Amino acid sequence: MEKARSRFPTNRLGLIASFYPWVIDVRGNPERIAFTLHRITGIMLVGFIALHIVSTNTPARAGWEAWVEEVQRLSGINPVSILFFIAMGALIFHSLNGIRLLLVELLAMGIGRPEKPKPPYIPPSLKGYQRTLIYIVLALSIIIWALMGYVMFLM
Amino acid sequence: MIFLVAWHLAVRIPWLQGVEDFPATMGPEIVYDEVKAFWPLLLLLSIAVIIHGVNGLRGILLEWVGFNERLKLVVNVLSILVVIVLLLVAVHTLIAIPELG
Repeated sequence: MEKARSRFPTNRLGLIASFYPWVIDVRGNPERIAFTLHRITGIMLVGFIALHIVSTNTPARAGWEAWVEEVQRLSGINPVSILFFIAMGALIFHSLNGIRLLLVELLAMGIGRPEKPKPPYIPPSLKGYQRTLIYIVLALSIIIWALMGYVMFLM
Repeated sequence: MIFLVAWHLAVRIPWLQGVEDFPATMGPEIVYDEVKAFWPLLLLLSIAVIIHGVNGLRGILLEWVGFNERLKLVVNVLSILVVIVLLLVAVHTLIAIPELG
């Protein structure tokens, strides 16, 4: 009974389902993981953007000396630069996944065409390459994030 | 927006700016020149990012509040206020940037 409930969710799962992909069964469902990551990174980025807009206002608000002090916080490995690096990771994944969503949802790439459901029925969307795009997004995100880490911390 | 964000990140690459490290790409001279030369792009980026971000958060919150009309109104009004405040800060950043001494 418990298993059946997790496999067949109600229509409205509430806020928890937005952040916790395992409310529904994600075995063989990377789309759900991509959706959850997109949402989590999006919320992180709203906070980051608000902070970024306020912090880049420093020259106008307090002058260039204060700006130089603020930028110095990003040199080396410290809590501020690590948080910045995490925000950059969120930004990279969110951007690349956004491009994937545009390709799949707007241009209908990689989801196949509707066909008669003859058993054993495999939906055309699972036979297309849209899932491969998810793995490409994840791989590219990690590569670009690592390069960004090199630029931020090792150069 | 994706192109603008990519450009915004690319100008922080040290060897494109001819400086030695990442923090140096945000030196006063570089930032001042960037704001003076590309303020329309920076303004466009701010507008796109703020609206996209706040609208996304608004969507999540509206899912959460369900059919409660009063909370829907609160979420919508707060979203508009946050967009206006952040846009004002962004515009202030661009127009009130001080001359280099």
